[in-house]
Order: sequence, then C-alpha cells, then structure tokens
Amino acid sequence: MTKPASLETVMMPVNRANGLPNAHYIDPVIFAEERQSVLFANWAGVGFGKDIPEAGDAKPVDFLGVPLLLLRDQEGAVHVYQNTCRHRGMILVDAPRNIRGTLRCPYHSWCYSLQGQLRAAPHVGGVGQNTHPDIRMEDLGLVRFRAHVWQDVIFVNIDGRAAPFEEAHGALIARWREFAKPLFHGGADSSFQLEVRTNWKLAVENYCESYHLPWVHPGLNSYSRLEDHYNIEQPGAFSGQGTLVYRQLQGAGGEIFPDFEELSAQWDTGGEYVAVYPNVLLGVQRDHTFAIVLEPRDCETTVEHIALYYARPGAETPALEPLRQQNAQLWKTVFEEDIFVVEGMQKGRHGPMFDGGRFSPVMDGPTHGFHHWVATQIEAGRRA
Amino acid sequence: MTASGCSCFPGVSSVPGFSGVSGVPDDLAALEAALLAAHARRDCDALATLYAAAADRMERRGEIDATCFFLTQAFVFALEAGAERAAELNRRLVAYGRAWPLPAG
Repeated sequence: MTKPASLETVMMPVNRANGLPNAHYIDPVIFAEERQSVLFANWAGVGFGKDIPEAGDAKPVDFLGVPLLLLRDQEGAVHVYQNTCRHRGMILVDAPRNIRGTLRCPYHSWCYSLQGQLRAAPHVGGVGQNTHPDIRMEDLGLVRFRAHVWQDVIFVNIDGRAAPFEEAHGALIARWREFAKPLFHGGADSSFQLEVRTNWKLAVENYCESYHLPWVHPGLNSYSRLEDHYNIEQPGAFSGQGTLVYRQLQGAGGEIFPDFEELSAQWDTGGEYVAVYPNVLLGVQRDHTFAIVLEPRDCETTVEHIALYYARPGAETPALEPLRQQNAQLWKTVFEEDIFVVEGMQKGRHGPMFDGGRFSPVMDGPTHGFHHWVATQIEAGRRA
Repeated sequence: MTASGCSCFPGVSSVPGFSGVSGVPDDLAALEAALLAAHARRDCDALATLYAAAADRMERRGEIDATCFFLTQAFVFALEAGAERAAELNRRLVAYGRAWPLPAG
C-alpha cells in the first residue's frame, strides 16, 4: 500500500518548492488517484471535433478505462456518452462509423437516438411486446457526460462536478478571443500520434516552458532565441510560453498560409503555447493553430494526439497542400525532439533519491504552476 | 458513408428466390434465406423490408403474436437505417398495444 506523500513542499513558492514526488510518475496507485482527482474532476481532452465531422459520425474512445462515445447529432452538436447499453452493459460502438438513424445495440437491439434517448427496447415485455410497465423509456437514455468543444478539442468532465468550462477556462478564452474563429483541420497529413514512454504530466511540463528550447531544439536558435520568449502563468488554469518572433513558414515560391482574420498587431510575430490543465496543449499563431490531446494510457505510457488547423479549408486552398504537409512535418520534428527528454525524465524518476527536483525560480514558473495545480487537485480529492 | 453496414449493398431483389417485383421472396423458405443473407450483410434497409413482409404474411393469417414479432424486427432495423417507414411500423405496433408511440424528433 502506498502511503501518500505530503505535497506541502510542492505548493511552496517556486523559489523554494520541490516538484511532485517520484510516486506521481511511477506508482500505479497514485496514477489511479490522479485519474480521479485530476483527470476526471476537471475538463480533460478526449478527442477532436474533426474526428466526427459529419452528422451521425460516432467514434468510441477509451479514456483511462472509461468507454466513451463521441457522437455528432443531426444539428451538428457534439455529445459524449458512456459507450454502454443501459440494458446489459454491452459496448454499443466498437469502431468509428456513421449512424444514419438510431444507434442500435448489437446484443438485444435496444435503440438510442443521436440525442441519447432510448427509442426502442424490442421484445422487452415478451415476444412482439415492446413495452412493460416497469421499463420507462424516458429513464433509460444513454449516460451523458458534460462535454464542451473549444479550439476543436472535445473536453469532458467525467465526475460532473467541475465549474462550467467557460468559467474554468474563462481567462484563456478571453486571452485568445481573437482566435474564436472557425478552424479548418488541415486534412489527413495534419494529424499524427506519438506514443511516448512517459507519464502524461511530463509531456505537459516540458511543453509549457521555454527553458529547454536552446538545448533540445537548437534549430530554433537562429531566429527564436530564449530571450524572445516569455512565461504565461494563470494559477489554477493554465501555463505556458509565448514567443515574440513567430515567423511564418514560406513555400519554395514564397507562398504562405492565409491569416486568421482581424488579428491585432500582437500576432504579427507573436505565438503562444499553453497547457490547458490537465491534459491539453494548444498553440496559436497568425496563420495556424494546433492542439495536442495527451492520452494517459497508463502510469508510464502516453499517446500524444496532434492536430493542425488553418484559417481556410483545404478545399479552398489546394495549392497550399504541400505547405501544409511541410508544416505538419516541421511540428512533428519538433515534438519528436522532445521525446528523449520526457522519456529520460520518466526513467530518472525511478531513482529513489530524486526529491522532485528544484525549479529555476525564473524559468520554471509555468512548470511549477502545473505541479502546484496538480497537488491542489490531489489534496482536494484526499479531503473529499 | 462509412462502415454503418446499412447501405452500399445490392438490393434484396438480387438474392435468388425473389419475386423480382416487390423485392420480397414468394415463399417462406426463400424469405428466410433472404433474411439470413441480409443479416450477414448487415443490410438494415433490406432487413426492415423483409421483416415487414414477414409481418404482412403473418397478419393475413391472423397470427398476431408472430405479426408483432416481425413488425418489431422490421421497426428496429428501420430505426437503425433512419428510414421513414419506422414511423408507420411503430404505428402498427401501437395499434396492437405492443409499443409506445415514437416521441417527436
């Protein structure tokens, strides 16, 4: 039995704090605790709207062992249901597909509308008898999780007790209000996944600081120096980094991506990269955005689901397809350069004498902000 | 259309034993074979049509329980297909006191 370590030192100011103890990265018992107190108790990313683009599109997702069904209804609204029939608990959808009419359980054919209502319970009162006084259709709809789509990421609050998304993330929504515009996924080449042998939190921690850039991404040094970056810190909600020297990608013929409309001058050369607690990493620039949903497979394995978005649909800008592919490859290279550090930090946390580490009081504020938030969530869970 | 399993298949009239007029087999053995084939194809449009035909046949014989069994099967597959005939099949079941009226929407 794991004895929970005190997290007091994690919650001290950054100049005196230690990072989260090793157990938070390597102990399945603590992983289970974080599953509940950190990932289920907040708005966690579980997928993308672009994965269910058409009415009736359904995609099953296993989120930390919870079977979810992402589904777009006829009006275009995204729902997240428990992918479990209310009758015998059968998995309803086992692979992505389009549902024309109702969602029929493959076992006894109980049928649900795209809005989750039970529409038919065939033979429930006997052969050819589809009613029974004790079976109330209105009580047996699909279990629905609170869901919210922002920047095309589908966020879910599993335990149902988090503040409304707009409230929990109001500060970032306001900060990036200029990017509250239609996003167009760049197509098949603009999505990719990286499976990494690391705890999911290390991917967050590495993403939200710029301290490592000159060492891990030396290719950025020529135009994006460390001093061109700044910390972004919103205690309790998000943290990350910004750059003052974002430079647009140009094709061989000088072609560039169209900008998002009506951006202020700040974004001419600005870019911001923020970890939306707990597990979503976002980036915005004048001509494209990206989102990374971190899927914690287990205590020491994480899948990074990455998607890139543009201001105009690919169908309107076919000549830019090579540039979209080049951009996706550029980002993939950057994210791949980070793998050895997140996997290395994971291995390092098996060193029993590691004390969570000390932060740079100047450079590591965003990372410490995340640690502080995680510790706060865990302590709240322990008090509940 | 992705792999819904409910379309993109040949019509039931392509199955041997069909009358070729209404798309429904003339005899029970052929009807059963057509149903099995439609199940194998997960062709819910065809399943709705074939089960409804079976229900009609039982209804003409006055076999109400069997009629409602087949109507139920037809109704479920019509629902899955998003077919308009689901409403009519539901009305027939409701008339026999075997189903609740479908809610709006």
